[in-house]
Parts: sequence; structure tokens; C-alpha cells
Amino acid sequence: MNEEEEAALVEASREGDREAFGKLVDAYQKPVFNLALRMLGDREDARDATQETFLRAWESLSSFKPEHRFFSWIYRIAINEALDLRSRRTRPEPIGAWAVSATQGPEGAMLESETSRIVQSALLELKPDHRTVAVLRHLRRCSYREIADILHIPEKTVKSRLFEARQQLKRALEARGVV
Amino acid sequence: MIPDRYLTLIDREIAGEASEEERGELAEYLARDAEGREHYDELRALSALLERVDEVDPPFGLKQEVMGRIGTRKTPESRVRRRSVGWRTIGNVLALGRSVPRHAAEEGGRAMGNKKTMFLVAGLIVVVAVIGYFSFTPPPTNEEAAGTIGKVEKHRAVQLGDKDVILGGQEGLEADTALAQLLDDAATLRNVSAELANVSRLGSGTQIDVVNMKEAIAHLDTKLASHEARLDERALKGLQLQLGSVQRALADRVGSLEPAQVASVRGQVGTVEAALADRASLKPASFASLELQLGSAAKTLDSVAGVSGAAKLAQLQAELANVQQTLENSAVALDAKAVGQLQLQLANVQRGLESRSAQIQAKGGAACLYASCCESCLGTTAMQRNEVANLRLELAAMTTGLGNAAVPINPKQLQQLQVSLANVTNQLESNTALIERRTLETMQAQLGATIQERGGIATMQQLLASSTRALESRSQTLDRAGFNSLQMELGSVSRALDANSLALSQLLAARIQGQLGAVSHFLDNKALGLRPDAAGAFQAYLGNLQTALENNASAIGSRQADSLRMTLGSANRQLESKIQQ
Repeated sequence: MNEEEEAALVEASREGDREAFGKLVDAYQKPVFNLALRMLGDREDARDATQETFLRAWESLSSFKPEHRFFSWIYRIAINEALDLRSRRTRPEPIGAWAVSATQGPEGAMLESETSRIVQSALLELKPDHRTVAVLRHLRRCSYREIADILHIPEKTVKSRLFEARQQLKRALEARGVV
Repeated sequence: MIPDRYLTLIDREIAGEASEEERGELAEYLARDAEGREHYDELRALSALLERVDEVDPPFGLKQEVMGRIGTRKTPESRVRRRSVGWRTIGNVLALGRSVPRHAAEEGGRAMGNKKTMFLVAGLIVVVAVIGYFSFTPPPTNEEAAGTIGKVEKHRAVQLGDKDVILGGQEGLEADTALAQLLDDAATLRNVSAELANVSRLGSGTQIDVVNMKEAIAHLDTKLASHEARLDERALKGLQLQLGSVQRALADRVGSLEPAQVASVRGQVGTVEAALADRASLKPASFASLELQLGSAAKTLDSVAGVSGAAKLAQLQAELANVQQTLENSAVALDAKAVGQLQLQLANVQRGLESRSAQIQAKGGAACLYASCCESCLGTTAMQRNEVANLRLELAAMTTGLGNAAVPINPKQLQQLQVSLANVTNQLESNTALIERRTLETMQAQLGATIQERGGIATMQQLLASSTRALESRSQTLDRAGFNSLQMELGSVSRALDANSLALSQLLAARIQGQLGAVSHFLDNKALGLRPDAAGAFQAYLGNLQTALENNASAIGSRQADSLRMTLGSANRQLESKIQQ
């Protein structure tokens, strides 16, 4: 989907067109879900956060400023929802690393995503601000400018948070014998 | 201290965002700054690791869930208009309460709604609405309840207008979503089904008992409050919508029916049918049966659309009973499915463990084979050492022979022969030392791999313990029978793991024993003294074996561990003796 098509869908959604909004959900459900998953470390929580993100987006579309990028806007909502959910969630412990995928067998999930599991546990040790920039930069591949737009902070702050996040992440991964 | 400019360049280069010019600038900087190079290498390693994190697909049906929930929300454009309408139905009132934004994304604010207050207000509205309705509306007489189309009271017809009764369009979506969400929570559904059954029974007579109705509604309201702790926000909303639906259906019974009301019931049935169709895969047989029942009921409704009110009332009651039965059956099916899924998951885990265990054992077998190769390699080395010794003796004998025969041999030829023999001796010596070192390194690496396998088993044990805790924490929401079944499954998995651990321990003990035997055999066969570097390597190797033995002593068993300690002590003493020699 190019920017013009996206802008048209956003405009139609603002006017209450559910079908148009459905196409935006189609396009963004995977990145938003992955963003939430890396922020929360739990697939069910990520599912809830993703749902809430799109509901909030639907309700707040009237406040969306067309001069901004839609992805920055929806990422920002997703990050807020994820942090909010994490701060108030008292979900029982997940049933195990292999429960993360319905399409991948338990053994596959256990063996193949060992790296993901280790990195995920290290990410969860970071402070929320640091985890956010690390996820956006390394896992969502956002530029400094895009991260600054999403978080409404200066680029300089993005750099300093990212530097600190990497140091913490490195220490956490070293402690797990990975790097 | 790396300048900020180069930190950025390093980051951009690793992210593949740097231009040709920037890359050149960075290369120059890295060539002259060691700290920069170190940072570059570290960041590259970290980035490479993070790139290996899986990108996962969102859960199946996520979009449908989102769109279903959006169906219950106001559109961006109609928000203000709908607020001004006031409460037309309970569902609408609750939707307004729910839709107060917790935070506006652009504002960055975050105002959490007070769920408790919302719930109490909603409950109050329900009670007031019901009391108000029955207080200001005279109870129907038998005649009215069984009345004809001609006796429809106009004010009541207005009150039960299309907007309130027909569950097509927006409200159909709301009811559909509410039902879908309810179906997601089996335990809650069962409770609600029981409550709905009570209300349904109270309202099934032609004379509606207002007092009992009020009590029933209040009781249901209290029940809802008691469920609050277990229900999340969306389940509450679905529950309240469902309650509104039942109230409307009960209100319908007060007077005679109109085609619109028949359509309303048909809409409800259709909603249930659609929700069931979505979940037909849960229990195909039972759901197919329910669908047939509902389809039959819908046809009956069609056929009685023009008949008298009493007949329609009976049909409506039958339909409600069917819906009720559907809910009951769904609850059972869902429980069974939830338990079934967990059982399947555990069975998968068990298979995974078994498969993993087989891999470990196969790997262990391969390692044993390798160890025996190492042993024969050591034997070969010892043989070579013996050969060297024999060769030396032969050489010495030959030298003596040569010395004795020196007179008849040309002195120059004799000297060449002596140099040649010395070269052969040196080559043999140096090759022997090389063979020893390589063999020791290989065996040390092999021991390291064994220790890693133990670590893998420990991780799996931790995961199992975690699963057990998770299941226990869910015990309140599972059927007791389902929970017991899961516990049995877990016990089975745990036993399988224990059995594998034991097998692995025995394997490990056998391997340590084999390695010690090889060392002992090698030392026994050493006819000559050890070179100083080989002796050091041997000592380190025996130290590693000792550590491995102590780390695994509890798994191996005290008797076997003691036996191994004795063997190890003997090897150490042999080594000491050889070093002294």
C-alpha cells in the first residue's frame, strides 16, 4: 500500500467507513502485534494490546492529523497500550515458551526460537523507555527521525536512550552467555 | 570517548542506512581508533543477534475480533450525535460509558476509566429501567397476554419500536459480538446461562410477576458484580448487552406481538446461528444439531408471523428456551474444548521432550562411539610411544653395531648414517607429543559438550515447573475434572523427564568411566616419562573430569560416583608417579 492509498483509507475511516478501516487493520495488524509482543513478552497480552490499539485508533481518528504518518500514530498508540497493559496486568504466568505459536510445533517453538526467547527475556529487563527505543530501532527498524516522531521526543534523546538501552541489553545478554 | 558523529555513523552503517560517503568517513575513523572499532564490533554483534528474533504472525482471527469490537463502538463521526441521543437501550448507555477515551493518542493523556463505578452505574440503570418500566406500565391481563393483533396498545407499540427491538444492523453486530465474547469465557457463560434460565422461567407465564422480575434482575445484577473480579471489561459489556436483550424479549411478551417483534426474535436467532457457525469447529456434531434446532425454530417463526399473539408468545418462549439451551451446550462444549486444547498442548510438549530426549541419547551414543575412538587413538599413541622406544633400542643397537663395525666402514658414511638416525629419532619424538596434545584437546571438548547437555535438561525442567505453576494458577477457571486430567498429564511429562534424566545420568557416568579408563590405559602403557607440557595437560584434563564428576554426583548416584572418584584418584596417583619418573 502506498502513501496515497493509505491516506485515502485513513480519510474514509475518519468518515466512519468500517471497510476502509478494516484494510488499515489488515496492513498494520502484523507490525502492531509484533511491536506489542516485544514490548510485553506475552502473546495473549500482545493480542489484547493490539485489539485495544485499533479500537483506540478507531475512536480517536478524528484527532489524527493527516500531515503525520499513520504508522507513527498507530505505533504510538500501540506503545501506550502495551505499557498501560503491562502496568496493570496481573495475568498468570504463560504456559511455556512453546505455547507461543499455534502453527509451530512445541518442539519447533522451543528449539527454533531460542534466540527470540533469550532476547525477549533480556528486553524485558530494560526500563520501558529504553525497551521502547530498542524495539523500535532494532526490531521495527525505525529511523531516529521516525522514533522521535512516534515518541514525541527530540532525536538527541532518542540517541541517548538507545545508547543506554544497548549497554543494558548487552549486559543482560552477556549474563545469559549469548554475547 | 567516541564522538557523537561517529556513534551515529556506526549505527547508520550497521543499519544499512549510511551513504557511500559516510561509509568512507567511518572506515577512516575506524582505521585510526581502537575504541571505535571495539564499539563497532560490539554493536554489529548485538544487531546481528537481534535480527535473528522471529517476526511472528498475529493470532488467527485478530482482525475479525477487532472489527467485531468496532461494531460495538461509535464511529468517529457519530460520536457527538450518539451522546446526545441519551440512553435508548442498556447496550447504548454502556457503550457510551465504555467509550470515554482512556487517552487520546495525540494528546498522550491517559485517564483510566473506573470500571467499578461504571459497573455500579450500569447495574443501577438496569434496575431503575426495569422498575420504571413495570411501575408505569400496567401489568397485562390474561386477555392482553393472549390478545389479538387488534388489541395492540399503541403506546406500547411505540415503546417497542424498531430501534429498540430489531437486532439487525448495528445492534445485531453488538449482540453478535457480545455473544462471541461471552462464548470465549466458558466459566462465565455457564453462570450467566444459569441466571438467564431463572429469568426465562420467571417470565414464561402469561402473567408476569413484577416483584419476582425485579428480584431476579436485582439478583442477576448482584451476580454480575460478584463476577467482576473474574471478568474483563469486554466480557462485562457483552454480559450487560445480553441482559438488555433478555429484558427486551421479556418486554415483548407483555403484549401481543407484531411482525417487527417476530423479526426481532428472528434476528436474535440469526445472531446465535452466526456465532455458532463461527464456532462450528469446536464440536461439529453438537453444533450441527443446535443449528438444525435453531433453523427449525426460525422456520416456525416465519410460519406463525401472522397468527394470534398467544401462539406467537408460545413460539417466542420456545425460541428463548432454544437459545438458552444453545448457551448451555456451548458452555459445556467450550469447557471440553479448552481442556482438550490444553491436553493436546501438553501431549505435544511430551512428544517434544521425548523427541528431544531421543536426540540427546543419540548424541550421547555418538559421543560414546567417539570416546571409544579416542581411546583407541590413545592406545595407538601408546603403541607409537612403544614403537619409538623399540626403535630407539634398535637405533642404539645399530649405533653400537655401527661403532663396532666402524673400522671397515667409511667414516664419512658412518657419520651420515648417524645424522640420519638422529633425525628420525627427533621426528618420532615431536610427532608423539603432537598426537598426545590433540587427543587431550578433543576429549576435553567432548566433556564440555556433555556438561552443556545437562544444562539443556535443567532448562527443560524449569520450563515444566513453570507450566505446572501456570496450570495451577488457572485451576479456578477450569473444571475440576479438567484440572485433574491436566495434572495427570503433567505428572506423566514429569515422569518421562525423570526417566530421561536417569538415562542421561547413566550415560554420562558410563562416558566418564570410559574416559577415565582410557586415561588409565594410556598411563599404564607409557613406557617412557611424560614430557612436561603433556603432563600439565593431563593434570588439567583430570581436573576437568573431577569437576564434571562432582557436578553430576547426585544425578549419577553416590555408589557410582564413589567408584569413579576412586578410579580418578588412581589415575591421579599414576600421573604423579609418571611425572616423578
